[in-house]
Amino acid sequence: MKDIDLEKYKSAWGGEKSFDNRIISGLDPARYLKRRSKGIVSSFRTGLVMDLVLKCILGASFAVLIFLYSMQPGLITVCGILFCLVCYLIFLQFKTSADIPGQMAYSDDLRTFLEKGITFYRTKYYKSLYISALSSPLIFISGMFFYNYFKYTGVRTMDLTDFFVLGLFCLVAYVFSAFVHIKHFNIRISQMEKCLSELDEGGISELTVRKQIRQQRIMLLIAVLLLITGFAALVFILML
Amino acid sequence: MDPRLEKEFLEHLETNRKIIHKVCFIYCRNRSDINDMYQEIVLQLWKSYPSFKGKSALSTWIYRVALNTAITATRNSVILVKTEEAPEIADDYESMMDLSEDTRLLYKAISKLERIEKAIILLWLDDRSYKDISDTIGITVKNVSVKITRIKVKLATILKNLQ
Repeated sequence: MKDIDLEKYKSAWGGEKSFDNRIISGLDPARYLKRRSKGIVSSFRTGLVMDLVLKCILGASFAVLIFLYSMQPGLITVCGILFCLVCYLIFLQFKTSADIPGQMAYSDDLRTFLEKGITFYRTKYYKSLYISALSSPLIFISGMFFYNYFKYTGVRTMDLTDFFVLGLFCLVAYVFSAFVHIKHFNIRISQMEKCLSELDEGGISELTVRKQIRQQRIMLLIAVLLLITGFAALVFILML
Repeated sequence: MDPRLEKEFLEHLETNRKIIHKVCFIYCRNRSDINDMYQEIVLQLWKSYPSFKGKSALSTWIYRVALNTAITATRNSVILVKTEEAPEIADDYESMMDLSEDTRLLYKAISKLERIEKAIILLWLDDRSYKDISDTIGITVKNVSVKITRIKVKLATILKNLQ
């Protein structure tokens, strides 16, 4: 088989006239300077903003519930705790949004750009996905309180089975939501990690990634333990 | 933003349109992907423009932003699919381009490379210096040299098989 002269192809590439053509005709470039980006950095920001809006609505709904259940001190306490929890979660999400790699990251070299994105995701954003997932059980609890108020004008005394069912629903809502959030972003990030690994040729970054995966598992365990503790505290308060 | 700055940016964009075109060509496979990618790159260039301090050549900076955008594109899953699955140039793309036979063959060969390999070979094909490639990709000049040698061997093998 004859040898390939790559220089011949390089010259053909260099002299290719088609690259001078306009690939987008009839569109004013100034117009699409105003469009919304769908890049990885923007998707981090969009995810956080959407969760912040949702959590603000949740905060407002718990504030309304405190007012609606003003005659039931036990429920005021529960709604008050949940309101404070939502406020704290909003604060955490705000803190994460401040750490999103800025637009200037696009001007970095490819390796730095990938490292910044992966580090942010694996350390800060990953935690925020667990926080985002908390919206689902909180919506469920808030919805249940509203339903009970408008249907029965109050929450009836709950027995152990009711608490078990409520807890189970909250847990399922949380786990499902966390799974969807994490799976969705992991696909994107794994592509970036693959590129970084390609740059490093399976060196340091692969070890870093493994370490980060181990940290994620610990985070998941902590989140589940916190959820169980929170639920037990809720049961205890309602039983008082 | 300042209209003067916008005018200046659009002039730079016009001068360096070819670079964005090539990045889109390497990373996309059909007209719709190209339109999306082209607009995304221009948008990222525009948003990052205030950070361009002129420390590197404008073309190097454009390559950086364009490659960072293309490699982390999330808009279209088609862009992210492994290119071995469809190395042919799509019909609508082919009608849009009027490529020489050698470029067409080179495109087919490049489409079989990994994403980072594509970025490096694109810069090499554009006659960028090793220092320039090192600054754009973020690896040492020595590593650039090693990678280019490997990619060239891989590319030659693919081209041989395609002929």
